[in-house]
Amino acid sequence: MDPIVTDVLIVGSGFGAAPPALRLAESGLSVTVLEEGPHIDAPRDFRQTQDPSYFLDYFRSHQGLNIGMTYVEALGGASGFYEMVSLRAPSLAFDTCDENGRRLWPTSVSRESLDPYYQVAERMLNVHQIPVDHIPKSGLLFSRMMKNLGYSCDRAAYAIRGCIGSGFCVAGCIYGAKQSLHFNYIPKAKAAGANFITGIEARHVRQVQTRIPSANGLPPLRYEVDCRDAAAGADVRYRARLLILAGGTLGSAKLLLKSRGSLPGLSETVGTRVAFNGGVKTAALLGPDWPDGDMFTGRSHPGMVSYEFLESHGITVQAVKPLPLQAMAAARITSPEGGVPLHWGQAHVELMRKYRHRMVVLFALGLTPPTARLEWSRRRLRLSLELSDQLREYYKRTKALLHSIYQRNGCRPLDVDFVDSNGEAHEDVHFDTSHQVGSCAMADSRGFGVVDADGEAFGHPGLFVTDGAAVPGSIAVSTSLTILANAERITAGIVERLGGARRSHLP
Amino acid sequence: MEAISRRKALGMLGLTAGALAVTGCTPVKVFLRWYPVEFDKDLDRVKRVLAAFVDAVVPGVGPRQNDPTRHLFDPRFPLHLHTGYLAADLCRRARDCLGSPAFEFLSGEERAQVITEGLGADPTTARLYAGAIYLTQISSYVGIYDDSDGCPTIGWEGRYRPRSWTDLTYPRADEFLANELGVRGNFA
Repeated sequence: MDPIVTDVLIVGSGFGAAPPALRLAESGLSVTVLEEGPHIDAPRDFRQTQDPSYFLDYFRSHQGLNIGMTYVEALGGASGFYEMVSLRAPSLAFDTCDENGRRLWPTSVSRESLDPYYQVAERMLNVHQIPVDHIPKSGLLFSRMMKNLGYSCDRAAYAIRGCIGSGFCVAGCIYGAKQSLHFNYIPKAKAAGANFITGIEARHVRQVQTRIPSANGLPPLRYEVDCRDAAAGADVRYRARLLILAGGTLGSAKLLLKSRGSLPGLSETVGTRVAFNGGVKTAALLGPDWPDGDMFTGRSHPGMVSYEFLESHGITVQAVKPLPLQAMAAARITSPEGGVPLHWGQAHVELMRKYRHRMVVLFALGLTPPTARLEWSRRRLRLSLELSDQLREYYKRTKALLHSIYQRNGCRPLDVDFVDSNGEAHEDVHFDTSHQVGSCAMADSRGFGVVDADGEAFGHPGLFVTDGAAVPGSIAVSTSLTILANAERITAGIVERLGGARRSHLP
Repeated sequence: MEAISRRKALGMLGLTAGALAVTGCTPVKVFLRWYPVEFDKDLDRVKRVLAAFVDAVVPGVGPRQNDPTRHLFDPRFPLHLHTGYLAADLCRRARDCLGSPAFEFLSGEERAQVITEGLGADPTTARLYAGAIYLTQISSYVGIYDDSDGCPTIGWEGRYRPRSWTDLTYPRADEFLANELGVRGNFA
């Protein structure tokens, strides 16, 4: 099979892929971006729907022992389908340590060093704090709860332009208000010459010996990637000078784990230290003195985030507004004082009548340790999380804290049992996340991570990881902006190292 | 009776993200359709029984389509393979528990009793019942067949209908705000 030759091959097209695609194309390099999911013509392809088939076209779920991870396979990655919350990771997150007291992040990477790249990312996505008069009712109720208790609560920042509050943010914004990558990085990268190909799966990576000399200061063509083009029904091989993995925390780890035999010296830590932002969700009924909230109007994220417990408990707290499909598919919500049966029948209907206006859902994200694992075994990617005593204690303590916020505000906590793919309640603590990071983590040395602080794989020059897989720890806020900023930072380093490299004259 | 291999059945039972049905090992009697043949031949009967099931699971809510059992027969969801078995099992339990083989003619309380029995049965049957409840609740509350449909019971209107900002938030929203610790929403 004759390989297709490109200077830069990027696997994935989401937050981790967008900066290298744009900046390296602007630098004059030939850039090819491979996306396994379908093309998206935004906003035309988005729908305001609760039809599961629509979501299953884009969303993927990977379930494992005690943990499940959700991600998006589509052009632009999760950017079309997230809630647009765009927050910088707090400084504290960069200083989190492992069980031996070793800082998870490389020494040279901190909030301070990342701030200039956060600025770039925020400018590109038009990130702004939500105006007061746009905050949905549920967010304001949460803020008042915190205010009543003497706690702080901040207006969150979003990647948005011209929001009309139509909701359905997680289904994709049909009005084009959400500043997903389809409106900034991707068209700019295309204009600079980057070639985006969808429906193509990267299956295997190998480092090859090449006799073709370097040209124009560029590295040699040393990576080959075997792919399956689903639309064409054909196998395709690419050969590149720089290979950038940005297929997401699961996708990048899977590719490296499958390719380990062809990448001698690859760090043993691939997939061994996956972080997941320790999400804990709770629900309550508002007390009689509270005005009605509203789960269904305004933007999907209710606008407020509290850092009150970040230093004391390692968590941020926010209200959330699950759409009916999210709520029904994820959990059984029951009232401790309901009749029998609890999770169906008349008692449940009565509870659901209160869902829109009288229910409030609080969600904590935590600086939990990177203790989930991904392994490639028997031709499958396997995910697991060992529930340590500390993790159980974290879950219990966080849930108790959220319940105390409800109770001290005269609200009544509800029982929430999260369900598996059969609709049955998990028997033990179970974390579900879309904030998975760290499967190919940055670190100061090969023993502790897969790539260095510049995102380059130890022992494999020219092979980079720029997506969430490189982010080495939980950050207690949504991960998208940090992934984007870190990808900007790594890409700036690549561009600087290439110096004045111009468009190569590929054979 | 259409033959279905165990492998195929297990594969079709597998549920995708968003989670809408039943998985796992299903008893031989499900695979072999080892239940009264009338439940394979008399679709109207099956629909009547399952409509009664839906009414017991979400009393007074029900999908607003003409056919309240549409979701159970939807080929996108693996449960459609087991509607005959589910209806037969409901009727068998109705007979064993209450002496009446016609689940659809039981009172709401009696139907609930039968369904509770099914949920407490062998793991596979329990999964089937749990999956059917789960799918029924999703179909009823969510409005999965029509983007503009909703669910009056929970005030869900379906697709967005234009409204003003004053409908989305409270007047004097400032009064709800607590102190902010961050700068432009970001903690240091």
